[in-house]
Amino acid sequence: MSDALLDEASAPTGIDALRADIASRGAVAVEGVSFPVVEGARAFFCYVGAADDVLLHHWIFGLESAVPFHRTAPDVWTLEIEIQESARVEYKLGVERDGQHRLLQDPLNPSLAMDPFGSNSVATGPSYTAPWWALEDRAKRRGRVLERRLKSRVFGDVRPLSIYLPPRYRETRRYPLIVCHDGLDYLAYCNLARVLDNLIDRQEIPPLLVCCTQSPDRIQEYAACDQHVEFLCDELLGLMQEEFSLRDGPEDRCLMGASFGAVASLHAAVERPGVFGRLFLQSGSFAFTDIGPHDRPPVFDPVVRFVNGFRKNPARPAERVFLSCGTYESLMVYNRSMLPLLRGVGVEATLVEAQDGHNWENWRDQLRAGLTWLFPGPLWMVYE
Amino acid sequence: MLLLGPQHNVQSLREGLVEVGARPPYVLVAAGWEEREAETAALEKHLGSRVANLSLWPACEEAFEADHELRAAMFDRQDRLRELGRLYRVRLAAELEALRELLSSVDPAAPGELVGPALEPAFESLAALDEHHLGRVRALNDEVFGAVCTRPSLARHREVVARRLADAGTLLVAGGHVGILYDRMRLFGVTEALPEQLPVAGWSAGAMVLTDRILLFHDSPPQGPGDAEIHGPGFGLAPAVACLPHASSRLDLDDAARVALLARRVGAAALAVALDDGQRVLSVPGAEGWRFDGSASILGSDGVVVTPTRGAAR
Repeated sequence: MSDALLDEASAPTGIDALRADIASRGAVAVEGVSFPVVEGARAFFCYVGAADDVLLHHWIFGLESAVPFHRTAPDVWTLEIEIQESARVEYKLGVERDGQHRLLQDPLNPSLAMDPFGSNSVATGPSYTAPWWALEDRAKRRGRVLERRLKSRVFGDVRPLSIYLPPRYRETRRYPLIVCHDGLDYLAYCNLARVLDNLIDRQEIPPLLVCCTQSPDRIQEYAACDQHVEFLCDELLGLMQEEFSLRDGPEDRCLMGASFGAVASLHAAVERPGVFGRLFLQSGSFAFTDIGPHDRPPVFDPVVRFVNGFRKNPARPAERVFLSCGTYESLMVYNRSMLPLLRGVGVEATLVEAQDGHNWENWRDQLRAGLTWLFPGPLWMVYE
Repeated sequence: MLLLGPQHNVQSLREGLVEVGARPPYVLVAAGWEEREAETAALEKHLGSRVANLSLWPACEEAFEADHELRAAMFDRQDRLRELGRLYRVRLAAELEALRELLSSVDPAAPGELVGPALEPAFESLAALDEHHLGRVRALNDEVFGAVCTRPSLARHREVVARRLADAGTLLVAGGHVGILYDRMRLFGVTEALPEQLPVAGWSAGAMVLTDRILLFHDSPPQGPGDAEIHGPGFGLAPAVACLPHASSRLDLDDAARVALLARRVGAAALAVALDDGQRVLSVPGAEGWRFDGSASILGSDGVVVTPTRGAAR
């Protein structure tokens, strides 16, 4: 091999050059650079500031949850990790100093993901692209979100509902209905209304209504709770049927939710088969034990009892079920195991896996696949 | 009779109308555009002439709002149509899978002495299924439209339609949602009131509804298997032709097996014609078959897509 070829083969890449520059010039070398720098499967993080230790905290199941940075120059800390092609990783930096531990967003990364508890920094693999249909307002017409209050006999209180009506909703048409658990969070953190506007506008889904419900005590009410089934099937559905022009078959009714919201959806469909014929289950907390006790918090007790019972004696809860889950979630094994179980009882079921974690943007990113699979739009019928 | 592809990007309607000797006044059905039915300015500019819009969309909305029995009857038809479609697709998927498997290992133009004879009964079985479904939808349509068309809520606008068509020089049928277009035309008796020999031009979905049967197709839709299916009967004004608008974007025309399958499927009764932007075929009184203008293509049962030369008749 000639010297020239040797030099070319060993020439430092951007990350290598940047690391060398940091070692040589310190913090000046990262001015104007956004982190992490991603090259192929390499992601390079940096923190500038006085610290005794810096850690990358992420929520990737199976990997060490706190990965230490290395001091590359005085007050400049760096870390290189492997990142998957389509990965989306939410993280925070843990900074130790003088015995104090602070958890903070990456100051050198402008990319943030919001959730009900605040926000995380985001690193993405080279092939990940944020979905335009969730972020851009391209629809020619927008739907409306109405606010309603439902006086619940079951729970003995008043429940707020946010109801998405599609553009040009009219009483002379009939519409499918989706009931969405944690619906206000879906509206806030998944841009649900914008997603619906865009997909309806592109005729990828038909015009439909989404009733967004939010529980004041979701850990209890969504954990395979019979009261919640009654609330959904009798009270909420009754109100929707009374006030709006809905199609009346189970194939036009869907329950939707993430995490415990997916448990609540499946549980209601199992308890009242034939009411909701479509299920959209995202990162379902379908914890079970084939042997011995479960190792999750006590709030999972009723969930595990329900899922164990369903696994032992599965019934057909719905006609079509769309499941999605992140490969970085500990729940993946539960969701994968649900697929053959559902298919075994004659459900048309599919599971989409994303290189992502248990978070709202993961659930947002799967909305198009799930909604179009459950409710294919009229594109088939349109020849402009 | 003039059948055209989409008119959004390449407008060829005016030129085609000259070729078939069509004249104003133009009467338009644009119910497939749904809420945009009244947006006819671009069309009028292209034609250099006003069009009389039959306004079937708002007329239908008014009738649905005023006449709950009509609405209920149409909702019931929609439910039954959907169930018929579901039953049809159960068998259709199996029939198409078998044919695709048979075609996957052979040249469709020369399937050989072992596969060739196996293809014939498979195509016959598929054709019988399509006919069966078509017959059931036709019977349902005849029953429901026969019952509702005399309702007073539709009477006034049916008269308006008949009057406008009596004075028309040409009927234009625009594209859009093919199911909605067919239903509105049927509810208001457009083809029943059509004077004999009145030139008719339809584009995209508007061309599809004029044929014997409405074939829905998309090789790679966002969801689903992409199995072309019979939606139901058309109005039969343009016989023995199957219109495939947006063919190059909705069909994989380089896949000889898929092309052959689709062509054979419609080929027994009709010519499978790909109609892309601005392309057209026409028939003129007294002449046999369809005349090509050198742009529209025909899907062949050998899997090859051919473009007849200008003026060729098929």
